[in-house]
Amino acid sequence: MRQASLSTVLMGIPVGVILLGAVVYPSLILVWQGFSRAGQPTLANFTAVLGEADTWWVLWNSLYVSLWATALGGAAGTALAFLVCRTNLPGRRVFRTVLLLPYLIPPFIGALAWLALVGPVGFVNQFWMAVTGASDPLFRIYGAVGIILALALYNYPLAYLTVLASLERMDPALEEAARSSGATPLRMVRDVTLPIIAPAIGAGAVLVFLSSVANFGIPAILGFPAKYFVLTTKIYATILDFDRPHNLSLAAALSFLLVLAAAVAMGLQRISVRGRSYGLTRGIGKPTLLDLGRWRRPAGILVGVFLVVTSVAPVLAILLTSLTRAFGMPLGWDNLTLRNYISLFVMFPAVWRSLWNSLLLAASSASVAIVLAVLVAYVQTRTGLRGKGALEGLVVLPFAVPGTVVALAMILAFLKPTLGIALYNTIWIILVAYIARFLALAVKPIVAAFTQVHPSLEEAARSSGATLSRSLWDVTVPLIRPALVAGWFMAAVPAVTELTLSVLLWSVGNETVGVMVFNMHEEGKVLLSSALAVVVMLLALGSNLAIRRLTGGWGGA
Amino acid sequence: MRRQSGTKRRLAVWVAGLSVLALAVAWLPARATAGTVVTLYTSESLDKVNEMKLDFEKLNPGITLNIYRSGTQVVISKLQAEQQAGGMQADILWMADIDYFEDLAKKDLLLAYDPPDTGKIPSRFKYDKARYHEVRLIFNTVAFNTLRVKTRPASWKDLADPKFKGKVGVASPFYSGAAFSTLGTHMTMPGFGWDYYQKLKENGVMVEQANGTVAKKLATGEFHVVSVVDFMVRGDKAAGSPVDHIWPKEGAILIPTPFAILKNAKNAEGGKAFLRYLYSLDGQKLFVKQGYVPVLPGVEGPKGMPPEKLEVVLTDQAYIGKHREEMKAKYRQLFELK
Repeated sequence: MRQASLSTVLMGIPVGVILLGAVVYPSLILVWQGFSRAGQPTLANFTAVLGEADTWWVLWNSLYVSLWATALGGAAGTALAFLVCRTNLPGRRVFRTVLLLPYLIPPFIGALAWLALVGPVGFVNQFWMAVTGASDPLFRIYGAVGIILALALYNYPLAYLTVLASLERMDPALEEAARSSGATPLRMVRDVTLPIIAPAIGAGAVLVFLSSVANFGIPAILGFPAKYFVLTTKIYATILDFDRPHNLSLAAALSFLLVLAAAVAMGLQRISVRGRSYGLTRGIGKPTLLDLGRWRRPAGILVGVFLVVTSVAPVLAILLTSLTRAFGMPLGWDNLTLRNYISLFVMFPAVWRSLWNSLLLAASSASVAIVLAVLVAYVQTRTGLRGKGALEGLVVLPFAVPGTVVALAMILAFLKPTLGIALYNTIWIILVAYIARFLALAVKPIVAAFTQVHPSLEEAARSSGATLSRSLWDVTVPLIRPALVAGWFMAAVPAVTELTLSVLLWSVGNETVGVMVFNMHEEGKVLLSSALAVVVMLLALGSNLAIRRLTGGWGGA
Repeated sequence: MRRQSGTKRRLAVWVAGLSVLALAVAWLPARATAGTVVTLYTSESLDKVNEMKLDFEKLNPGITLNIYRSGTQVVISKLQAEQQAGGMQADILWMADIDYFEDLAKKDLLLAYDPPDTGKIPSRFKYDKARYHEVRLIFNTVAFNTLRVKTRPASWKDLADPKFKGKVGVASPFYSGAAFSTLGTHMTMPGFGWDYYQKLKENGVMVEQANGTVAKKLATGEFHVVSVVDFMVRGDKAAGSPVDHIWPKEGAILIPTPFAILKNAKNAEGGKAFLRYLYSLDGQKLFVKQGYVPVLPGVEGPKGMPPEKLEVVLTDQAYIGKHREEMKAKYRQLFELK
């Protein structure tokens, strides 16, 4: 028994050290920085930030674009989920999966693709100007409208997945009861189906809102040219503005506003769904499909057009841009070239280095996260430890708060050498940030797997004389191996194409591929950045397909 | 028990595939950083400075040049952050903010180095006893899209011409050092000053971040006339884009873009080697190929080289140094957020 408690302690050490170093310490420093100047506690940062009209504009912009994106993305996601799950929409099986495409493309890459399609000189506007002879583009994508559309588009799958899951789990007997009592299909949808999935619609909308308000890539790419700032991009700009006194403290104060906005949304959602879950047992039997009648074909075409316009066209546009020889000349065979890809991979050693860095960071952060996740899951599911809730909070925190805030906390914590270790300006600071950020993703499937393995198996091992760690590694871990692999990929895949954290934490030689694309775009190297964006897109699609094959689903959804 | 199910086999294939991928990447030549590494922080065009890196590394086997590139102001921010963090990570600096170099030289943070056999380089390009150096010349000029603009502009004032309303682009002085030097120089030019910028604003001028973005949007026709650095326009023109630049009648603005070696550089020798290369015939010829104006006498300039009588407006450093913050604040107020 003494040995067992010793090994419990030994197992607890890495969890404790990493959570303390990567989560607790940076969080505390962030809070302290917000409430202090030159080591003295003060509210000066808040009075400075809140006293500036700029701040209120930026806060308003954040809420404005996120709420619009939530309304549009939530509505689109809900409607699409209903169409593919509950109606006889033609091609619904194919649509069901393909509608998730935007989810697999990193948002900042999506924004670049949209620029190539409907940017000021994107293909649509070029065509419009060529046909009509107009000298003004048809669309102005920079600013609020472009940001809203891009956010809605790359986030609607969150609402779609949530509603879809709820529709599938719903007990069809409830609907049948309505039908057999004489309700028309529309009435049934209105009075039975919608109220049942209402909490899921709300939850999906909150997810869209959280993801929108925390997004950095889209407002950075579509907002900077119009000088349209939201909280994430304002924090980014403030962090980089070292000319400004106390810039990091001001950024910390701003980041509290951002966290507050996210927290309010989560709180509202909690309150609204309280005590409202019914009929969500996995139903037996198939639900009846709503017959769209003569609207069947138009609906199918509409969904098809939606897909082509939102998913296929921008991807094609960026692909074509990446194959362009001279910018500004009309599209034609003689203006097509592979030169951009060749110069990317032959001329720029930094491109290879960034790809390598991204893969290495993703693999190593996922590996560390998976080990931690097993230990965390053990504590969560097998012990009655009192700090369990706090532990869960620490795991979820860095994933729940916007990435820009996590990056700021890392800078503040590790700018100056801590305990003699200098992390700033090394690849390690990105690694620490990734572990903290993506740990929650690895923990989720593993906790689920732990609850499915009955503790009696471990107890049997223990009573046969195995130590705690032995029983864990020899009995439980082999049983949950598929969950380990799933968890590893869940943590690794988003890290491969990550931008929000690394754009603030990178240093020379330690750039990620996301940073590489972003910097090339910032510098105006459209052809190169488009080519690299296509590569990143392929990387993201490939690794997401890997997850799908391994987990048989879209993971967590 | 050892039987592998279908999913497991597939899983193994995926893991194996990924490991092979990782290994493949690990073996790429870029990773082989044998010899010494010298780290450059710069605001130069990434593709151009990358070309220099490859040429330099070929001529100096064993030295690897690592490049951190961003806008001048971002690079300076990064350096300031690093100073707070306990020391600059760069060995050498090269960017469009001579003021910053002057400041570093005053704080005695720059290494004085006058490479041998560079006597032909005019001494005015070796600032402050060779503490920082002008290794080639760039100018800020007015450029236009040849498909959209029929009559060739002639003056800086054409940017404020109402017929181009909403089609005028400039780079942001908060990002680009060249744009900042241009702003400061316009302040001291007779008939310009803030009035000129007020007119630009009324003409719906778009403030982009980088010169590269301005040049790109000029090529695509999103902008019709712009203020931009000359070599980019010549480069785009050579690549086939419908752009050209003029030499404004008030004069083009010389943008100092100094190069310096930091005194406490980890690899000062590597930095010196790079400076020797930049001043060498090879380096100067590559500059010309890239469209820059060389500083080494006797090297023939690029096509579209400044005409002999070109009136160059030099940047007024004293004025810029003194009015830096004031100009920034005023510009921010004039063009940024409402």
